[in-house]
Amino acid sequence: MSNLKQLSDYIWEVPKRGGMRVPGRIYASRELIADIENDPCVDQVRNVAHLPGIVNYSLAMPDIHWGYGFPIGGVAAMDAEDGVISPGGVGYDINCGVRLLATDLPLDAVRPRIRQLLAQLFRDVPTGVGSKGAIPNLSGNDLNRILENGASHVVKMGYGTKEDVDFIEEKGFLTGADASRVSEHAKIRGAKQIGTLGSGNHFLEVDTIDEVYDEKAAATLGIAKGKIVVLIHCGSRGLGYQVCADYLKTTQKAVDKYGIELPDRQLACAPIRSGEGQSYLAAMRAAANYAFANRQVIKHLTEKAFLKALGLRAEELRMRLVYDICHNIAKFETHTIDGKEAEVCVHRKGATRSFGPGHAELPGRYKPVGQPVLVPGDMGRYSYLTVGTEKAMTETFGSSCHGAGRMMSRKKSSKVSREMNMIEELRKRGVEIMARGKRTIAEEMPHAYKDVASVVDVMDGAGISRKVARLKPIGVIKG
Amino acid sequence: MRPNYRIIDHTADVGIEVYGEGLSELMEHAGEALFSIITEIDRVESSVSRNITVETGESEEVLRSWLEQLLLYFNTDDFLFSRFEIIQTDDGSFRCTAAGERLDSDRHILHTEIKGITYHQYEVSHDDKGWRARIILDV
Repeated sequence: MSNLKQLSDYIWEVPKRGGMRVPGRIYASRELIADIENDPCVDQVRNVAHLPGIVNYSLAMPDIHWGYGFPIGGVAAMDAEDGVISPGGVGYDINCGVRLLATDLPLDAVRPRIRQLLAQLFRDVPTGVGSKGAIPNLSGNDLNRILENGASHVVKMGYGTKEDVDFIEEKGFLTGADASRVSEHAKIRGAKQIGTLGSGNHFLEVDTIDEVYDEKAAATLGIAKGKIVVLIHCGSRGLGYQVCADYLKTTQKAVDKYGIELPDRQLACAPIRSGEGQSYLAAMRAAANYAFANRQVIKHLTEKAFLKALGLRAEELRMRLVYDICHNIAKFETHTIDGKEAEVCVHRKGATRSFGPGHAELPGRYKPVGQPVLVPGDMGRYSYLTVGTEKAMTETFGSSCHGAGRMMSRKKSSKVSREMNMIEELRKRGVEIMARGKRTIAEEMPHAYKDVASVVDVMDGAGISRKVARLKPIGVIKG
Repeated sequence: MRPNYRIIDHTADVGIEVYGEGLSELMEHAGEALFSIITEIDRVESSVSRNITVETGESEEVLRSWLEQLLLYFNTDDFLFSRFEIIQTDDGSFRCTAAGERLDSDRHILHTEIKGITYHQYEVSHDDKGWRARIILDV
């Protein structure tokens, strides 16, 4: 039994018990909590609360579901001095994230030619398991510079513009990355996958803005109703998975070495100040930088595909980066804790940074509205553009949700999908799809996910991230 | 007759339950299960062999090491395997041969990208009916 205590319309406390150092807090509506409360993911919120150095609460966003060690949708801030860092609190796909591109094209300029456009995107953006990277024969030197400098290095190589970098979280690179902490195996995987979308729930989506909730904020972010935008969801590919796997082994050993008591061995961690902790941090940051570069290369390929398929000039398309966010990451940030400013290591696993207006980390132009928080939904319904708030800074270490949250297993979703003509089903919803494998479509059909609107409404209602616009997909490419 | 393995349901990930008479056979069947998730294993010819050594140890660690080494061949060398043969030597270590071929995108279909072999509900056990393992893969 869950024994959750309701604190407000949208916050449910997981009371402190046993070895928990802090209570848990889950953001959800009454409807969502009914599904969440009996799920094993609540135990994971409790488990995270056992970690040394955890500050205030073990948090979960409304898209919470079971994950490896930490729940997906989990946020935990650790004291920078006495806390731990946990690879399971970041996930296998380090800096999995989302990037939103805006264009000047109206819907009716694209809709009639959406199939040609998708075919071009599918040719130009390497997609699916085993696809070859967009930069053939990437040198070891270039890979190392990507790992240490992130998106700016691929901009130097000709992928995108210098201005793009200003609209990426952390300007497209985390300081303190060290390529020498990334194993050779991880590098072999990384060298051949730069500029690839991958498979599973990753996608590239052509959307139209079908609803604007805040005209002023939308205008500031360069978004207008009826215009075409592109949403890209992917991460650090095999390089990130390998870094995670390598350091899960390191941290498993560290748990014994430092005598850390854990309720679940998947929470393997190391003290932030230990050699093991510092090594993981340096490698994790390098993988995060790779992911920023990966999405940057994909942006460039996307722009080229649009120009070619639609026969446009760059100034007619005016494709620009609205923002790029990470939703699997651990970062050092300054937050106010017990009335005092303190440095903490914020783990966000399936959660997005949601900094409020005026924050120093925001691009100048966005300072009045807050940081864009990109929340993709399933491929048949809609996705959201929201912005961070001051309240997020005080309640959630500046964090919000990251997506719809899966509610049906891949196997079950495939079974349900078997009964339908999936491509027709999506077409009826006004969405064209191209995918490498039918199995991916079957596993990722809209019925496998929660309605993302119910997740975004909780964050909006709780004042953590405000709705600015809704995106409706018209075309999707997947692995 | 008991199958070599079966796929089990798990919300975010993919699980496999593997059976074998001894630990060696369990490892052979686990290799088969792994590559069945990755690809259409029937289309993978076993024309080239790779030798893999797994040190002796707890059965959990032995199985994990074996699967991780197989995955590494796939992820770094684009190698797909379809046949596995494992012999336990006198010193307790395992001499493993995996046969397969390099990925050919014209002939092979890749289904699922495996991110990692998790520790979640990971279990290797045996009784008088034989060996059994449960493995949850992060996909």
